[in-house]
Amino acid sequence: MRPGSFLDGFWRLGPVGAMVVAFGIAWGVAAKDAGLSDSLIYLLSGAVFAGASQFASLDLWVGPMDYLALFLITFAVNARHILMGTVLYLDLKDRSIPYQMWAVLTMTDAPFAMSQTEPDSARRVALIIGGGWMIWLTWMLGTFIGVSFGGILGNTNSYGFDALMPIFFSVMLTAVFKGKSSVAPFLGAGIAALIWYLSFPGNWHVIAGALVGGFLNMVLNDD
Amino acid sequence: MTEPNIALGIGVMVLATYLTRFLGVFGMRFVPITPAVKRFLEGMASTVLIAVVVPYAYEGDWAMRAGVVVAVLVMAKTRKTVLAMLLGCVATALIRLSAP
Repeated sequence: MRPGSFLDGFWRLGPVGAMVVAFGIAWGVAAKDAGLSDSLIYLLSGAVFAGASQFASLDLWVGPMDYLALFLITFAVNARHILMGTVLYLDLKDRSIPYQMWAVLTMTDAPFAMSQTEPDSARRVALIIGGGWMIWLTWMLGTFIGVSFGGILGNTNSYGFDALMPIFFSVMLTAVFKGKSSVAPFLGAGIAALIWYLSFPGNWHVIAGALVGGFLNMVLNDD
Repeated sequence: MTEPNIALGIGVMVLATYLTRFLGVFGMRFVPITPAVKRFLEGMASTVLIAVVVPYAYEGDWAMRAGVVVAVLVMAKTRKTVLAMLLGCVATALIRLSAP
């Protein structure tokens, strides 16, 4: 398997994919409980492919449709993708617009987090694209299991699945921690995100934290 | 709630989500990549992960937080991603089992 190839990125996300199956199951169960039809549940997983916003939309499918609310909530919950895109631009800037559009089609948190621990640009892109499709497949698989066998599984949170994501992101954070120069941006971002999270609704705390972190890194680590 | 309405709703969500995925890459085309801009982007690249984790750590129970600490320590010591994740999850599960 060639380093930097699609399959390279695909298989490197395999262990994370196992966790994503668990989240997919949780989504399938929750969506079914909320009264969504099976086809709607699969379409959301396959075409929207952004777990947090899918959960956030659950209340909006019953009663008259409020398209504006649906758009704004989805945009807010997924707004962190915009930041990831600006960072990925450095690896994609010499590519055509169609290639860029394809590369970000399956961009999600886990492959992005792992790509930031990877020093080689080609392998970073491989993680985003190939790894993104690993996440897509496992997300669909989990959705299928949740929709089909959710009744048997019961409340999936009691298995401790809820700890998987924070643990994964913390491990990735440890990998990108660069020592002294990282302390102030990391602390600043964490505090800003927490304050925002406690003060305002929506999912903008991610943006607030990352902007503060980026700003501190720009000002303090001028070498 | 009718079928065409649902289809339109899905379309709205797909559009909103894809916009978030593409806007960053597309928008940077118009931003000159100076050293300062680069430092800003590099700072965001890692701290966006912090911002994602913070609510989990805040809302989570002590078993989850302990699992995070174990995972971070194992990762810092061994640099082995899968091992760190595994031990972190095991720690959370063990604490939950022993102190329900």
